Amino acid sequence: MLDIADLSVVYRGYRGVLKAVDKVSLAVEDNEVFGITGESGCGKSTLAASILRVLPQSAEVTSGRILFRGIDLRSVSEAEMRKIRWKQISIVFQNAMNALDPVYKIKDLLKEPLRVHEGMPDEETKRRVGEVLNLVRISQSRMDSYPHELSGGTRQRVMIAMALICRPQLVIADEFTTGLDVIVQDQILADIEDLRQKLGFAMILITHDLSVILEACDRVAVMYGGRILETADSKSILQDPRHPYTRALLDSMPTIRDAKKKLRSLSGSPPDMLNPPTGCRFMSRCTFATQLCQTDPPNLQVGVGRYSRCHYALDQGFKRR
Amino acid sequence: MSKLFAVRKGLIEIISSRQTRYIHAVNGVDLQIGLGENFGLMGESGSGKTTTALMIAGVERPTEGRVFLDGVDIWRLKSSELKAMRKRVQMIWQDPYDSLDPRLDVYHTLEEPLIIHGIGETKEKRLDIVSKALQSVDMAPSEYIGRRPFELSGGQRQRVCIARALTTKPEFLILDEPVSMLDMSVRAGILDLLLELRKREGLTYLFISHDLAVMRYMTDRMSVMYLGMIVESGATEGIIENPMHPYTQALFSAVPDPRVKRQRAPVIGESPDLTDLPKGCNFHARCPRRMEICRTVGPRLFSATKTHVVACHLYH
Repeated sequence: MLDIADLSVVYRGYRGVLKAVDKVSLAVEDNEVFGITGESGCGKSTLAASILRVLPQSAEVTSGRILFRGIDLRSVSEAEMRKIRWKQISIVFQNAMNALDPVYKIKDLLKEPLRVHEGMPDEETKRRVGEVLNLVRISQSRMDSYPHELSGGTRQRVMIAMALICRPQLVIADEFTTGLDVIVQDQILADIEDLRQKLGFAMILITHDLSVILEACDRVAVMYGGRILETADSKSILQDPRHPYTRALLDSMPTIRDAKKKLRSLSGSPPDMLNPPTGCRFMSRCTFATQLCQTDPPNLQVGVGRYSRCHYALDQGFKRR
Repeated sequence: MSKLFAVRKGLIEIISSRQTRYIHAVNGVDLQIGLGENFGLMGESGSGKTTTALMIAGVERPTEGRVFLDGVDIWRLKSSELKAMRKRVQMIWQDPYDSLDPRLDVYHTLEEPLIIHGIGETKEKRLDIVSKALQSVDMAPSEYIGRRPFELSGGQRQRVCIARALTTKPEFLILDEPVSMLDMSVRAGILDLLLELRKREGLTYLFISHDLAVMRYMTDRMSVMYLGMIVESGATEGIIENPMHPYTQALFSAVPDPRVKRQRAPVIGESPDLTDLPKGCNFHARCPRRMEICRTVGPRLFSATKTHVVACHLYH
C-alpha cells in the first residue's frame, strides 16, 4: 500500500543542512500495523510529515520515492494531494491539547475535514460527526464542548475521530498516546485496534515507547540518526534483535512482571545530524563496534522481511556482554 | 535516629467565574520517610504527587497539616532558618530543558547555590566544589564546565541538575519524574547514577513517578496516590507482587509488555474533575469491584499486612 524508497529529507537553517532522514526505505501492507520507533532526533516525525507533505518550509525532500497505491506522492499536485490527505491517509498528532483549535467546538472541528476534503454539505456532516463520536466512544453531548472542557484522553479521542472521519485507508499516529496516563493510554490503544478491525485501515504507529510498539505492531522499524537500522516483525525484534541499538533499547526497558533486572544504558548522545559520521551512525555508542564499522554498513537481509544495517547482523544476534 | 515526618492536608483554590471552587489537590496525606530511605510516590497526572512534593520542599504552603523535618515543623521556621533548611533539602525536576538558566554556563549554574548559601569563601574553593560535584555525576569538569545548556543533551542537563543539587551537601533529595522526559536508552544511566549517589552519600530520596517500572527499579517503599489521596502503601516489591487496591491493579495491568499476554486494564472512563470529586471513595465510579458502601463512605488506610496498607472497603 505504501512504499517508501530511499527517502531523504533535510532541514536548511543558518547553521547548515541537517540530514533529518537519510535514505529511508519501508513498505506498509494493507491492514497492517507498522511501527516506527526511535529516540529524540532520529527523524521519525519528519518521516511521517513527509508522507503527507506537511513538512515545514525549511524542510526539503532531496531524494526518494513515496508510492501510495502506485501514486507517487512526491510528484502529484497540491490539489491532488489535498484529495489524498485525510481521505486516504490521515494523521493523529501528539499533544491533542495543542493540536486542537481552542476556539472551535468539537462538532465544528470534526466537520472541517468533511468540508475541506470531501466537500460535504452541512446537513450530511452532522450525521457523520455523530457516527464518528460513537465510534471513538465520546458521548454525543460533547459535540458542543470546547477542547479545554475535555480531559486529555477525550481530546485525544477527538483527534482520532478527526483522523477517521473521512474513512482513510492509512492512519499515521505520531506519539499519540505520549503524555497520557497509562490507563487511558491502554484504553485508547485497545479502542483504536478495535476500530482498525472494524473499519479496516492500516496504521503507522510512531512512538519512542518500545513496549507499546512491540505489543501493538505487526512489524517494526527502528530508527536512529535519520536511518532505519533494523526492520523486522515484533516477535523477532523481541527475541532475536539483529542490531546492537535494538539490543540496547531492549536492555534499557525496566519491567514490572519479570524478575527485577539490571538495566543498561547508552553513554554519549545521538549523532550530530549537521555533520553525521561517515561510518555507522551508531558506532560511537556501540559496545560491539570494530574497525569495520568505520565504513557505512549495508542494509543486510537477515530473513524474510527482516533487514539490519550492521556489518554483524548475520552473526548470531547480540547477546549482552 | 532522625526521621522525616510529613503530616499534611492541602487544598489549592481556584477562582471560577464568581464562585470559588476548590481543587482538592492533596487531601489528607500522611507520609513518613525514614533517614536513608528510598521512598517512592507513585501517581498519574492530577494525583497530587507534585503538590505533595512542593509542600514537603517548603515551596507550596499546605492549607492544613504540617511537615516535619527531623521533628521540626518547616512551615514554622523563620526565614533565615528556612534558608538553612534549603541546603538540606534539594529538588530535581522533570524538565531538564526548563530547569537550567540558558544564559549560565555549567560552572555558574553550579556556583549559584554556593553563592546563595555562602559556601566556599574563595573562588578556588568554589571551583573545587563545582568540579567535585561534576565528577560525582560522571561528567569531566574540564569538558563541561564552560558549556551552556544548549550544548548539552537531555541526559547531560539532568546530570548538571543533579550536580547542582549536590553542591550544598543535602541530606534529602526530592526527585519529581527525573527521567520521564529523557530517551529510554539514557534513563537507565541516570537512574543508576542516582542509586549509586544515594549509597555513597547516604542520602534520603523521595522519588516521584507515574511509571511503575521505574518505581520498581528505584525504590524500596512506595505510596500510590489517586486524586489527592494515598490509596496504597508498602514495600515496593510487595506492592508489585500483590497490588491490592483496584486502582493499583489497573495501573499494573495497563503497563504494556510484549513479553506476556496481559489483561487490559478493567477500568471505566477517566478520572473525575478535581473540583467535583465524587462522594465516598474517589475511585468508585471507575472501579470494577465497587460495592454499595463505596458510593457513600470514603475508605481509610488499613493495614492489610504488617508492611502493606490499603484504603479500600474490599479489605475491611
